[in-house]
Amino acid sequence: MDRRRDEELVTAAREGDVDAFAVLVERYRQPALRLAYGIAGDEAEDAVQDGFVKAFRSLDGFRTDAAFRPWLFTIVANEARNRRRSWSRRSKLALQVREQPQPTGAAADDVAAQHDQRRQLLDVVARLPDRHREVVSLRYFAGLSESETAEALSCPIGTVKSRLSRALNQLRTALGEEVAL
Amino acid sequence: MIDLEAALTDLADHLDHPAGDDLAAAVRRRISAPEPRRAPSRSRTLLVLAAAIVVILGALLAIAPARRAIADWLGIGAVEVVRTEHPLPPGSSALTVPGALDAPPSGAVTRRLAAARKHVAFTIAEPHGAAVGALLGVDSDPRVPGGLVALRYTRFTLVEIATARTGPTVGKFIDPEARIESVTVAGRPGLWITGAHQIGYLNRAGNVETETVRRSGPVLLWTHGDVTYRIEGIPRLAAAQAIAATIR
Repeated sequence: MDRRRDEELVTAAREGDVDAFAVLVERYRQPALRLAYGIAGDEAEDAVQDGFVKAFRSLDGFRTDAAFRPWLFTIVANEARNRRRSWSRRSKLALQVREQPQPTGAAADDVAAQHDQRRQLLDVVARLPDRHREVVSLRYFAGLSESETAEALSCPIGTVKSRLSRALNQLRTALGEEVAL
Repeated sequence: MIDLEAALTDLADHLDHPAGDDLAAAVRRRISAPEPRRAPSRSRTLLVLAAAIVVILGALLAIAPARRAIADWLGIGAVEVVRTEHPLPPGSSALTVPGALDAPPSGAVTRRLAAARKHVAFTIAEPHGAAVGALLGVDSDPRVPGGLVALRYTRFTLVEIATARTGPTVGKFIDPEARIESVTVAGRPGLWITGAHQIGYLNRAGNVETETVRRSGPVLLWTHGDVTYRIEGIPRLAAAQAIAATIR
């Protein structure tokens, strides 16, 4: 695994080092896919690929004193948002929980229950308004801190907190007592 | 009661998103090759036509609290010019390039120019001669289809925009007082626009970058090959034409 810090890889990539940028792609591929999936569902892979390509081509505009991850995720989120907007807003976003191999014996029931619980939660996440689903995706699916989420959304941290609070309340309401979250 | 935030964090690890195993290879292929120009297709043509309408409507909505009718149309290369019937409101006069992020506090302009060459689908041309002055900055916007680059010199800015085969990518909105003259630029037809006008861009997704609508000074516009050029900041037509003639 390449242990170079993001700043070093960005500096090398800005000089045209494609290999250095490929390390960044591998490093952030999974959280970027999770983020884009939360925003645009099955369009995630295309959005992430376009996002990485645009990030590479915009590296000259990246401030080296800034954090790379929120900057990258801003671009990925924009790509995903554009793709989501390009279909009908009325189309329902279909998000799925990954199936897991079923264990046998006593653990089987627990795994099935966890799977159902995740599926119920994801169903209500999918029904959130786009703006709320986006902040949830940045914060929880991509794993950004609140301040990084604010940076990615170009808004004050207070706005992130209030949007998250509203989103979580909507989720709680939607879930109701069904899963007692 | 389960912690909802913890449940969402846990959910992130169980999303059935595409694996993206080929992502790094696909990105590597794309960034290693010059950005391709897409051949026009019927659907893309329709998309761009629709987007061109959106840019006009979007910008008119953005700049016009009152109803404005479109008085006439003109266009050249990547630029569509729309005259409105009422004066434009004051706007920013700052020259910005859409999508260009803040320039690093220091950085060799030549290196930025070299990088910009990789980001656009055309050969970036430069003006020459003593009247040109020093190149102070380079901004590029990969979101404009085919690319856009702005070269900032002491006295003026030269913007080069890939001319999409399928239609305009830049909307220019002028008010009734603005003047448009048909002129010749290095033997090619061009437009000289003086008076208040504003500029908006279409990005690759066909969305209007309304935040980039801004007020602009006298502008000389012309096309050469697949590139639309714009010189901004030179108050006299003859001086702008003289600079344009040195571009190669």
